[in-house]
Parts: sequence; structure tokens; C-alpha cells
Amino acid sequence: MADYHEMWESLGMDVKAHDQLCAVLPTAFGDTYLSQENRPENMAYYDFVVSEIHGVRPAELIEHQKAGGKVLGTFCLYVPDEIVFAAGGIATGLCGGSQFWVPDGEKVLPKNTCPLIKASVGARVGRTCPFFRIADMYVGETTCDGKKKAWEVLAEDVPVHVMDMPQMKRPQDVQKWIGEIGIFRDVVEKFTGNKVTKENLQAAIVLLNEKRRALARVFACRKADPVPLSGKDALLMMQIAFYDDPGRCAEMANKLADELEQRIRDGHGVFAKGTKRILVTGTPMAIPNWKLHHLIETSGAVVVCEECCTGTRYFENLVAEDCQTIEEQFSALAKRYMKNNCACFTPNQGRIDDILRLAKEYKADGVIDVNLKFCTLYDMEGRDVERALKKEGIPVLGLETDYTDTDAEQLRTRIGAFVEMLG
Amino acid sequence: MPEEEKDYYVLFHNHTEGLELYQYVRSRGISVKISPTPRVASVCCGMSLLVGADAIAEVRQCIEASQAAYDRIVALPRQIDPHRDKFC
Amino acid sequence: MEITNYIGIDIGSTAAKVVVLGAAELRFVLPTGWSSPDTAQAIRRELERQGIVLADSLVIATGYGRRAVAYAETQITEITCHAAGCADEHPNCTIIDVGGQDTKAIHLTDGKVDDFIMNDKCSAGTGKFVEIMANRLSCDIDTLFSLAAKGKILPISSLCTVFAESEIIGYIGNGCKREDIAAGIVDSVSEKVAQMAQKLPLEHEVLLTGGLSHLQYFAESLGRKLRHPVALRANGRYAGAYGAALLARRRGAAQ
Ligand code: SF4
Ligand code: SF4
Repeated sequence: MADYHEMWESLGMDVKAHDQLCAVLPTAFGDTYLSQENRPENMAYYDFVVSEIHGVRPAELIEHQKAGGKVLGTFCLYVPDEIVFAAGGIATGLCGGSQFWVPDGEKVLPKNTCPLIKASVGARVGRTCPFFRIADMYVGETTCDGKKKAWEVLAEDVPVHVMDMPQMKRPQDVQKWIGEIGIFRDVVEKFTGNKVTKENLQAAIVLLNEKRRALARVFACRKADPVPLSGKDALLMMQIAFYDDPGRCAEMANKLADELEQRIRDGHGVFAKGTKRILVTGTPMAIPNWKLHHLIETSGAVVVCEECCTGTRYFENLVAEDCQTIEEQFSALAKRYMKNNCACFTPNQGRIDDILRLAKEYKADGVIDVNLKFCTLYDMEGRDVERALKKEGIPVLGLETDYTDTDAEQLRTRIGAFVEMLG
Repeated sequence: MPEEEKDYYVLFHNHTEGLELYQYVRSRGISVKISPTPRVASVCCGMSLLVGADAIAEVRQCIEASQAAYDRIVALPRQIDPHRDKFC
Repeated sequence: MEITNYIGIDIGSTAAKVVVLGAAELRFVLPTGWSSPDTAQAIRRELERQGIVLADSLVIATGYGRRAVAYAETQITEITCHAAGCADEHPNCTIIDVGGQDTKAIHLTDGKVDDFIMNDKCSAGTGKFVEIMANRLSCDIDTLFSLAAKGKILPISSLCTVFAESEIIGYIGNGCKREDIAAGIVDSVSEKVAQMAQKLPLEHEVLLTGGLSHLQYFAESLGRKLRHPVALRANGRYAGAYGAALLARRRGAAQ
């Protein structure tokens, strides 16, 4: 099979350590994904992407760099990819979802940091992920405390630009975000050597809106019973959307949606009609974090929607496409991004409203609120989430977990009991 | 090793070969899956085709008929266990 | 085919409990060894020795080792089974099940589970904690509780089992009375169990099931922490297996 060792070496990777990840990925992916029956034909593309995860897309990014282009790595949904693409750059998501990277992260961060941060930093400092090596610049944000300090660690090793996020959603905060996007534009223009114009920004807005529309189409199909797509497969599509080429991402998601819409017309599902439907809410699930979905879907239920950054938050709300001036475009960008409801904000009633709305739209029988260990923000907000759901008579289960395997059996018991309780 | 607990992995020199054979086989309605190459089959990662014991004869015929390029076919005891609970 | 017996098997981390309902009415307990599949086989042999034919029985397995019972019709979590094992007599209650490695609180309304809570990975507040501490005092668990009833509580401040154990070693070294140390141990377990159970509403009666559910002193200690009386469920250690057997019978009737 294709040998990417040379490419990895030239990226300055620790090829030997990285090899250990390559050794376990096929088993984990086989157990989690290829054990499923009845999957849509169009999931083959995503299986392919995972099979070639550290080869094909990195090679494309390197081609782009050879042609003089820049690659910017991002870690949060608030960073407007439009600016990067408008300036001829490529934005790629860089969140770490594997326990494999955590020990390296713990060498430079306190142990009681959330696994997402530890894995992301570990992937860089351990030199075990090609994407983290390829990115010419990282874009951080002042969201949670852990990430804020992590940028300082990363900046010792790679250029980092940090966007100063508002913490509230008042009009002056949206105004401030417009200013931050302007500063980001200046940085990106200087870094790529390309100007952001009304025309190329318009093209980027349309490109990314198309991607959002396509992902939303797939999600809409999950409202059907029987559900035509497993939660695991939907999650995989979302995780790949973070670093795939946006045009191709939209094309593939649309193809998948075509097939799913046909399945719905045929009454064809991946789980029997009436299988208990779960809405998952909470912290993001970066690739290859498939643990919770796998445990739920091997415990007699199906995940029909995710209210999280690797779910609806990624594609809900479009950027207005009818702006006349570049100022209007910036304001439209800021407005769209500020509609995201992350627990970093106070107050964050919008997220509670989203969860209640999604639970109804997707006809969820129950909600699982998942928290990555040591994420204080989502953990604290969990109280509000549970209270609001209980008030509406929607059963909810709060879970805390990390990337390790050790709690799988206990989680199975909790999830199993929850599903039994629904039925 | 009982036949039904065995799976086959078709390995390739590159993913272009792999995708070509996948398309050819699927267009004939034979069920195969794109899979990362299991470590026990090869130290090089990348895609392979996972073929069940019931379909391997047909896949071999497809390779024959299309003169498909591939590296080799490896038979392995069933690699997939959804209850192993080893995540990565 | 006619089913003659409904069997509930609850394989916990320290003991496996079996309840048979139907033509034969019996129950027994076996220690859980290293491997759940071996335990499942030992149970099978014991059932057969007692004249029960598995071929015309319907088995439901529960507990930590439930998946190892290959001859079970299905597996159901211990949370649902403990609830089923109490629901007939106590349709509205909160069950506290202190298990070998996890502790659960289960809230029942009209005989159905409507909320539950389970401790995290940590062994504090579980049967394991009590077992380790009893070892330290060179006695068994029942003795530890009867010693505790006569003692004055020595505070144990550590949340972690390992650190709590060193505190106890310290007390032993200082020549403290075994009764007082035992009282401290029970107090610590009750505190942790109560902390967890308090997250559920306690408007109805509170019942103790699981491995410590025959210990009156434990119920009293827990009741003090919860500021709510705690009752011992009769045959509480069999509650999960009994619930599984009842669910098997219900399933049999539905088929
Ligand atoms: S959870 Fe919040 S901070 Fe994290 S990626 Fe999402 S929006 Fe950003
Ligand atoms: S999960 Fe929480 S702690 Fe972790 S990066 Fe996101 S907001 Fe920060």
C-alpha cells in the first residue's frame, strides 16, 4: 500500500510514534464503523477518507503549499473560515480526539485540562499528526481558560494568531467581533500576500454556505423514523467536514443526502422503526472520538442529532449572501458567528432553547448531555440543561467521560439503563 | 478456522487501484467495504477492501475480468468486534 | 415449548446471585472469580445440579458480568433489575444499591424508573472500599459493621480509597480502638453514598439493596446522613437477580 513515510519524515514528524496510532486506527474503525449493517452506499467516501486519513488530504495541503498557498489551522467554530478562503488560503480544523495524543499534552499542560486541549497540544508537541505539522499558522480564540493558556504553549512552536472573543452577546459584543474579524483579515492578508476583496469574500461566503446547506440536508434526513443514517456515520461526516475541501465536502454530503432522501421514500432505515432516539448535547467530539456514539448505538438506541460543535452548531445559520459592501459582509459574518451558542458565553439561554427545539424537531425520546472531563463550562451549564429538559418532560442523562477506554463498561450500564428507562 | 469467521482484505499499491476495483465490484452489486488496512495484514496503512467469505470468489472473478491491479489478498480471522471497546 | 422456570442471574464484581422462579423456587449465591464466563459456567453447573433444565428455562442476566452469560435470553442492566425487584412492593421509592464496584441510586415512580444516578470510576462509597478497610482491620465486613455500632467515629477525610487506607493505617499505628476506626469507615462510606443519592428526590421511602443491605447499622448511618429513614430491603442482595427473574417471567408471558 501507498507509503507516506517519506512525506511524514519531511514534515518533521516522529514517524515511529505516529506509527502506533496507525496500528490501532484500523481496529477501532473496523469495530466501530464496519461492524454496522445496512449503511448508505455513500458512506464509502468517508470510509475512504479515514482509511487514508494521514495521507491523501495532507498531500493535497502540501500541494497547495508548494503552489505558494497557506494553510491555517483552527480550533473553534467562531473562527470565520471565509476570510481564509477569500485570501486564497485553506482553513483546516485541528482538534485532537484521540487518547493517543493526551500523554504528550500532559507533558506541558496540567493533567486536569480537558482531553480535547491535551490531545490537540500533544499532537503538535509530540509531532505525531501531519495536519498539525502542515498548518503554517494556528488561529486560536479566547474561549475557555484552558484554550487561552494553550495558545501560549503552542506559540512557542508555531505562529499563532489569537482572536479575542466576546463573552456576552450584546450589540456592542457583535460590534467588537466585527473588529476582531477585521484584525484577522489584516493578519491573513499579510500572511498569504493576498487581499480580501468584496468579490473573493462573496465567493467564500457562498462556498461555505453551500457546505452548511449540504450538511443540514443530511441532518434533516435524520428526523425520519426509521432513521436512514446512524449517528456514528453522521458524526463521521461532521468530523471530516472540519478538514475536507469545502466544495468536495458539500458535494459528498449532497450525494449522501440524495441517497438518504430516497431511503426515506422507501421506508428504509439503519435501525428498526421505533428504536429509541437520542439527542446528544455537550462538548465537541473531534475525530477519532467515536466512543459515546458507539456505546449508545450498541445499547439499543440511535443518535439522531448532536447539539454540539461537531453537530448542528457547525452548520446552522447562514451568512447573508446579499451584501452590497465589504462592510456589510463583515457585519453579516459577525452576526452569523455570534449566533453560535457555546457555553463560553454568559448567559447562554440560546443553547437551552436550541436543545429543546432540536429534541422536538428530531423527535428525541431522550437526551444525553455529555461532558468532557475537566470542561468546567459545559459541566456547569449541564445543570441548566437538565433542569430545562426535565421541566419539558424530556428524560435526560448526564455523562462525563474522556478519551480513555476504561469507563466503557460503566458507561454501557448507564446508557443501557437509560435506554431501558425510555422503553 | 471456520469459513464464516474468516474475512478477506484486498491490498493495493495505492488508493487509485483500490478505488477502481471498489467501483467495479460495487457496480456489479457485490458487497464489499473500504477499510483501513489492518496492521496484521500489512505495516503500511491506507485503504484496502474488506470482503466477506461469501463474496470473495466473486471479487476474484471481478479482478480477473477487469484485470484490476492490486497487491495481494490476505485472509484473516474476523477482525471486527463491536464489543471490544477499544477506542483510539 | 412450555417454560418451567424463570431465572435471574446477577453477576456482580464480588458475588453472583441467582434467583429461580417457577416450578422450582430457589436462590443461591456464588463468589465471582477472575472470569465472568467461568462464573457463568459454575452457575450453570449449580443449576443443573439442583435439577433445573436450562432448555426449558428463560434466563435473564444482569450485573457487571451480564454479557458473559451466553445461555441468557437477554441482558438487562442492574439498574432496571433492582428496580423491578422492588417495584411490586414499593412502586414509589428511592433504591440505594451499594455494589462491589459501583453504587447506584434509582428513583421509582409508579413502579417505573424515572431517574437514576451512578458513581464514577472511583471506588470510594462502594463495597470495594468497605472490603479493603475490613481487610485492614483483619475482619470481615459484617464484623466491621458490628464493631462500628459500638465505636465513636474517627474522621476519615480523604476522598480517595488509597489515601483513606493510609489514614487508617495511621490510626492503627497510633493505637486507636478498632471500634472507633470501624465507625469512621462506615461514616465515610455513608457520607459518600449519601452525597450521591441526595441528587435524586427523596420524597418516598428509601430502600437499601445490594451487598450491604442486611446491615441495620449501615441503614441507620446512611439515614442520619440523608436526614431520611433508610429501610433494608428484605433479601436485598438478591434484588437484582430477583428483578431479572421477574422480568424473565414477564417476558415469557408476553411471548
Ligand atoms: S465548544 Fe465552544 S470553544 Fe469549543 S469549539 Fe465549540 S464554540 Fe469553540
Ligand atoms: S471542551 Fe470545554 S474545556 Fe475543552 S476546549 Fe472545549 S470549552 Fe474548553
